[in-house]
Amino acid sequence: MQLEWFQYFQIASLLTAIICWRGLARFSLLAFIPILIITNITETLGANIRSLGLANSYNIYNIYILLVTPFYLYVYRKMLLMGKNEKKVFIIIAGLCMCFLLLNFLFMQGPQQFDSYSAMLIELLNIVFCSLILLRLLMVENEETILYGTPYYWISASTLLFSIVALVALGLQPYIIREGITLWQRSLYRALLPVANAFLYSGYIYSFILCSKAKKK
Amino acid sequence: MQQSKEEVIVTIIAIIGVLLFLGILFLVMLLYYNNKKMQMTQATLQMKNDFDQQLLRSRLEIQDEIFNTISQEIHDNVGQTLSLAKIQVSIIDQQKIPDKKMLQEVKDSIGRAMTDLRDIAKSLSGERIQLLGLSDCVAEELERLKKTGTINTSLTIIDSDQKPGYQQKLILFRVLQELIQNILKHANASEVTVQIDYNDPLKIVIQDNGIGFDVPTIQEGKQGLGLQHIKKRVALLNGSIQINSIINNGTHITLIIPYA
Repeated sequence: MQLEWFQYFQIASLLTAIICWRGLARFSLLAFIPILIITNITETLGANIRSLGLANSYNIYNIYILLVTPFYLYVYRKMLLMGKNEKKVFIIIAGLCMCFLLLNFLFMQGPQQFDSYSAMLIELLNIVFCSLILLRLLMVENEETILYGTPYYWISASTLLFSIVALVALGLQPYIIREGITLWQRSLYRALLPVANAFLYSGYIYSFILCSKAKKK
Repeated sequence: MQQSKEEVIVTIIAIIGVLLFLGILFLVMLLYYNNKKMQMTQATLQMKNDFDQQLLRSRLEIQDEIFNTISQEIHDNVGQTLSLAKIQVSIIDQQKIPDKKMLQEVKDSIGRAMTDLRDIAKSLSGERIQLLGLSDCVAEELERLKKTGTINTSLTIIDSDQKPGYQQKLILFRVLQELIQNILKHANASEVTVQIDYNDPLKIVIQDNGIGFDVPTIQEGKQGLGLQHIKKRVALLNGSIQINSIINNGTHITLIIPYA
């Protein structure tokens, strides 16, 4: 079994989440534990497809998107601190999003190729929701709270920056593969995403530590 | 072919770079805004603390002045009246048959002392100021001044729906008390008029026909300490005070206090 270097960040974030679970529960972020378990399993499978006798990892990542998205949507719902009407709108958007992911997986792009439309939609929603969370934090947080001292800020900021990179990289993934575009002898996707992943999971680790230290207002 | 691929890579990386830059800019701006907001909150808090401290200091000064007033009033009025009553009682004691007329005078003296004490208590009570309102308290104060028999007083009220709040009322009344006390002590006036206009901003005019004073000289000297306290208290209410005085031609003082 082999592991990519950025996977150590993912494993570290899972371990941190488990260690700081009380803090995560205090901030309604416990859903990160299943997210990180699924992520770690998926990335480990993705890094060892040859040993598993699979031709490619598309199907693994397509299923990953389907599994992990509801948990992310749940986390966003908690972090957005919504009112009643906003919750209704959010549930409708989340429902429509899940319908599109299923339809794309089953009928449109299908399981045998990478569902780039699903990935793009998810990254786009990540960017929108994270921006909204950050703005909401600024408006709602106690006036004495330092923004960079709150876990929600680091989760949203790192996800926002990761999603910007991932949106372009994943959106262009079919084109990159078709045209064989490489950087440093690796596919452009493989060259860019590990750095972005390392940044994302470092952000998560820091926010989980903040969760265990801070008290929810 | 290789060159075209390189161009595509550069374009993709440039797009990612620009988008990342915008993302980071957004995050930095959020932090900057948050920082500004916190600084403003702290500044507001500091201002509030300063204001509270100033208010407390002012209240302590007022309290100190009140104690002085009590001591002076008791010594000059109540004390004198009671001393007279004591002497009269001693004389009556030495008489074989008590003089009815003198007994009545003793009764009158004690009655006057009691009235004086009641008047002092009334003018000092903060609760009474809240209960009666500014106009009635000023009216009582002017009535007390009138009782000295040397000064005629008049009060004009221009009413409005707006009224000063608790702190405003208390501080304003103490300021007016001090101004009236100053007239009594120093002005040698025979006429005092007070006008209270409750429209926004609250305007109070106090005028006397006394000997007047040279405003800059008094304000610079030690005698001007009372005036400085008054000015400080008016400033605490975000108000202003204007003093016009002409030697041998009286003094005209205007207080302007905004409600908000």
